Amino acid sequence: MIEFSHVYKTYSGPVHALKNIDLKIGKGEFVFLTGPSGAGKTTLFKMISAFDSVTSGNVNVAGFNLSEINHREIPILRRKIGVVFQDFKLLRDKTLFENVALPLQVRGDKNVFVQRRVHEVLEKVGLAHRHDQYPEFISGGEQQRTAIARAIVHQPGVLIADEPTGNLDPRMSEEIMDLLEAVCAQGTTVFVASHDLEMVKRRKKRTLELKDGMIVGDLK
Amino acid sequence: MKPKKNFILRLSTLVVLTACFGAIIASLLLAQNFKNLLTMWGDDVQMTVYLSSEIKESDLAELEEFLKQTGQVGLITRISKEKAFNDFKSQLASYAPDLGQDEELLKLIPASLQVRLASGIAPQDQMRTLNELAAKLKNKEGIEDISYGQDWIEKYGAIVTAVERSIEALVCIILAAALLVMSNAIRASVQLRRDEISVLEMIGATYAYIRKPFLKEGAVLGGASVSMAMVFCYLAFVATKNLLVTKLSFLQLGHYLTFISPLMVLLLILGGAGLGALGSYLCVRKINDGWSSRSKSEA
Ligand SMILES: Nc1ncnc2c1ncn2[C@@H]1O[C@H](COP(=O)(O)OP(=O)(O)O)[C@@H](O)[C@H]1O
Ligand SMILES: [Mg+2]
Repeated sequence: MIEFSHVYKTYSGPVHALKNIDLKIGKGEFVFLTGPSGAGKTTLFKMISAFDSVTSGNVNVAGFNLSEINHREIPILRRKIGVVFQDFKLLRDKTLFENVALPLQVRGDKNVFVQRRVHEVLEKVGLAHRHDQYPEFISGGEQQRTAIARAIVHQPGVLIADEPTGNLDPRMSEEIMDLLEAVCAQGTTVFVASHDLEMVKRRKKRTLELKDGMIVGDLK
Repeated sequence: MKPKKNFILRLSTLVVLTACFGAIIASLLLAQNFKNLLTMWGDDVQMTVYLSSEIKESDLAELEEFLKQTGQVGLITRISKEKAFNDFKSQLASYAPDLGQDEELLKLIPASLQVRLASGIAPQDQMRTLNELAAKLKNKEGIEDISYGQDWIEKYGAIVTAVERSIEALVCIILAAALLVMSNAIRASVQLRRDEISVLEMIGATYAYIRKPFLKEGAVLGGASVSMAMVFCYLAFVATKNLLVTKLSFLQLGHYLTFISPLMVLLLILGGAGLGALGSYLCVRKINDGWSSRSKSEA
């Protein structure tokens, strides 16, 4: 599902954000990416979602070779992945329902289907009753659940989550992690970056450790 | 997008754009009506062809026919020796009361043809047309001299040209300013909606999809401001015309004032909408900052 081979990423400076990354994540796997701040976790996720390109090496995601991807294909790639951020990135002037509906709307789904699917997903994350609420009136945990709903509503093959619990208290964090594991259980590949080592250890999942742009550990 | 968001920005942009387009429409109106007035005054442009005293009736008729054939002349009036003399006398009566007795003088005053230019000839072309006509007539039988107020017409044509050029320049400058204001407004609105755009990018929206609301916004902004400017200009126009017809009727100008044609109104509104959409198209470039705004907040 996700495959990196000999990937280097160098920013001007030069900052070597990623060095010789080789990794392979199969379909339906749940993988953590850990490492201190500045290790290159976000950079790696940017490569996966084609928000930035590699300096050298190859990245394959959901059947796309990102070194050869053209502009027209990028939206199509992104419809096959879901992304969750630390700061949720919900649109403040849209309701929860409208936020979650966006990925379906941009690909032109029929309204009837959108209604049904969004309600189904809001149900799954436990927010069906708040569908016409605006994000600023719900808690951080609920906002992140909405963001996860938005990331899975179009049934992507891959979900990447960059520090999804970074802004949440421990109880809400557990809730979010449970939800991500449930998503994985339905067949989606889930890749989660986190620097909360305690939490990662408790979850007993495959863990990639990044340090200074290099993978220094791959624990099953 | 709820309307309360960047309401002030939109309102102020609308006001500034309306002012810009108002200035453009006002200049067009001024240009058009100035031209109307000049054409009205230009109707007086005529040529006097002085005839020799030996000219035969057949030659005269032939001359008239020749002038008509050119298609460049309107009314042709024959002024006989006697009429010219009487006109001359009545004009000078108060200065030289005993002029009337001078039979010698009558012999000196020639008969003439008063030739008006055809009404379709633009003010700028009148001088050239008159020159051409004079050149053609020069070698004809029975013509003594040709006079057509060369000086005044030349200046008059130059004024018309100068006014038109300066209005064109003014329109261009204001148009450029309007485009700048519009693209700034849209850039600001893109800036305000950065988050929305980056989310849309992230979930796989195409650029056509992302641009659409901005194109709409630009077109509405442009079209609305031209329409509003049009309404204001029309009100100002009606007020001016009323003033000229009622209080300043002696100037006899009211009749010559016209508003922009409906077709032109439509074209201007569409042009404004098109300009707005174009401004948006140029402003909504790739934003692509999926994570970057977050990296900043992290730092
Ligand atoms: N756009 C950029 N330009 C220059 N340097 C960058 C850019 N993005 C990230 N970096 C650098 O790359 C390194 C890795 O950053 P990042 O991937 O954000 O780490 P993490 O997410 O693990 O905290 C850091 O040294 C960071 O300063
Ligand atoms: Mg990061």
